[in-house]
Amino acid sequence: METRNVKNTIWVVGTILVIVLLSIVAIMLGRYQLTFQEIWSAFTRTGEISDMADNVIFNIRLPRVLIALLAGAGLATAGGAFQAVFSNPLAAPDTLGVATGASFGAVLGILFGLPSLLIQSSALAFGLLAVGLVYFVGRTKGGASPVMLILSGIVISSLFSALVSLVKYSADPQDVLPAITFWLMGSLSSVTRETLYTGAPFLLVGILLIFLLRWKLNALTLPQEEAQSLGIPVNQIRAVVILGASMITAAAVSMCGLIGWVGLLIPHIARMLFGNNNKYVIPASIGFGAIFLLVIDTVARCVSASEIPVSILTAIIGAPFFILLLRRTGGFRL
Amino acid sequence: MTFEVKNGGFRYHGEREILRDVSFQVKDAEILSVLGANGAGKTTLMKCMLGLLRWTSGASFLNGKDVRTLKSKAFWREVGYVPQAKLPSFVYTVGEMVVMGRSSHLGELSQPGEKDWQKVDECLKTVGIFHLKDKLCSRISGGEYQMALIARALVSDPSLLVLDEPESNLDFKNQRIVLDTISWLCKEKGLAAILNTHYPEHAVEISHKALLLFPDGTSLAGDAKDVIGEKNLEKAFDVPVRICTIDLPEKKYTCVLTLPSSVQHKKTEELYEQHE
Repeated sequence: METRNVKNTIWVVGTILVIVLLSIVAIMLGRYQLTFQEIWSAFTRTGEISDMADNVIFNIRLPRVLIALLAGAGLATAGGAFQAVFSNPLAAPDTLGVATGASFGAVLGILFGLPSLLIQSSALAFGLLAVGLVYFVGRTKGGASPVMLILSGIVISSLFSALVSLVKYSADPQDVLPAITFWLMGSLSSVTRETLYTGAPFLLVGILLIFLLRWKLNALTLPQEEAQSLGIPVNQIRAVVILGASMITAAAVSMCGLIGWVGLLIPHIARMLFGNNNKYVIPASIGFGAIFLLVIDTVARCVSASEIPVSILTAIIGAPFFILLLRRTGGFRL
Repeated sequence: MTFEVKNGGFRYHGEREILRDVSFQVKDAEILSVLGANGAGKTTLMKCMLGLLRWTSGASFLNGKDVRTLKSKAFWREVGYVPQAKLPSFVYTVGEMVVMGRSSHLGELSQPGEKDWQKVDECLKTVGIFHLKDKLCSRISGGEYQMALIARALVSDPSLLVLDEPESNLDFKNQRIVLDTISWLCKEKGLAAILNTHYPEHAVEISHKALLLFPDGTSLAGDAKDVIGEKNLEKAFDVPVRICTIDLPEKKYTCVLTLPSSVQHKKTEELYEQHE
């Protein structure tokens, strides 16, 4: 136990250090280059700093870095939670149609030319509406069984994806359609401080809920009756975890569009390193997810003159990395 | 501790009764074996008496109190359930699996601490698999996994163990280990046990009481030696049965033998006749 605790502490401290370091680097990089000196004086409020630099740091880079960290941590946590709740390694944050619902909300907002704050709220609302519908459809006597939930998730998800297609079909192909398409590929290019303020509370609450219940997630992967016989209120805990994961997913989609892969990839990386115990998988997913999306987003905005959609990069960078890890660790524990 | 089922009956919505008027009682240090053909309702009975399924009539009582009125955590602290061994889709180490049994002693947001892990070590030693604590459940044998599940039921300090076919799918030696462990727990620790089994010999050997489920949903409960007789077994399993005793110096052992069934052939012929 002792050595395990020491090892855990090293991992936690190390991950936090890496996050801080990478965040500083990410704030420095970009079309307007900043030095470490400028960032230091901006945060400590000492020394000379130009208004321009101050503006770039606090209104553009910092919100963006924070959103990348939060969304990455959140999506990875939601993925890990859904995988446990449905005791299925293939589940992802969009399994219950939350992401598709939120996309529809956002796309609808873009079609009507709403201001960005309303687009975001509409995405959040439709994402949560989607999971509500899924729960309503999948509910049977004595709670909702995982299989019924997944089935109704597929149904609701394809319903909303048809609605997204309908919006795309009726959108003006000159300017609205490209905006929708770009948004659907996921991007943090349009985030502001307001985006952060609207989305972050949902993300933080969702992550906190799942973090607190993380050990109980282990029992949820057992067959329903077995978990009940351990003295766990299975239906209630499952509902709370699904609610938390849905809040995270809807908020993440509302802030930065559809970002694939993180929710599937990161929890499995955590499992390969630490085993299936969710007591470790969830904290590791939070840390690795944050790092992963921060790196991806920084690459997305720095590598070329125009931004590359994040979803393209998550797959292009994520897939080889995942394969490498799969080879090195001999797969996750089966 | 007393656990009692009074006039239990169960049917799935709109179907025929699977269980009808089942009654039995177990006390400290007593073992009750439940026998019956496939589909006779052994597992259903187990789920009903534990409140995992709702009785359509009758009720189960723990220390005289209706189980439905008890708080779930309080009930599962008294009762340890050992399901049929099946690996979950995410595999844990033996220790991680066993510590889940402490859930009934922990709040919803708390995690197992020092005391809980001590209990895990203790129970792993009790069932003799302490050396496997850090192994993955998928890397140990079926017999060892069964012992891990028994340990998981034991860590909540129950006074009643309920086991669903604990010795099925195991070889002779592992069957022996499982049976001896259950017997030992009852004799030495005063635990009561209810187990489903497909082996009448096991029931006669280790249990004090037996419950026989018949295909029509009725049942017979009583002393193991009285209930497990040729007539009763033939009625329950629909095959000719002979029981013989082997006199060994230390103890008398009971053998149950099934004979080639003429009943089955006759039924097939009858079916053909009906078609013609």
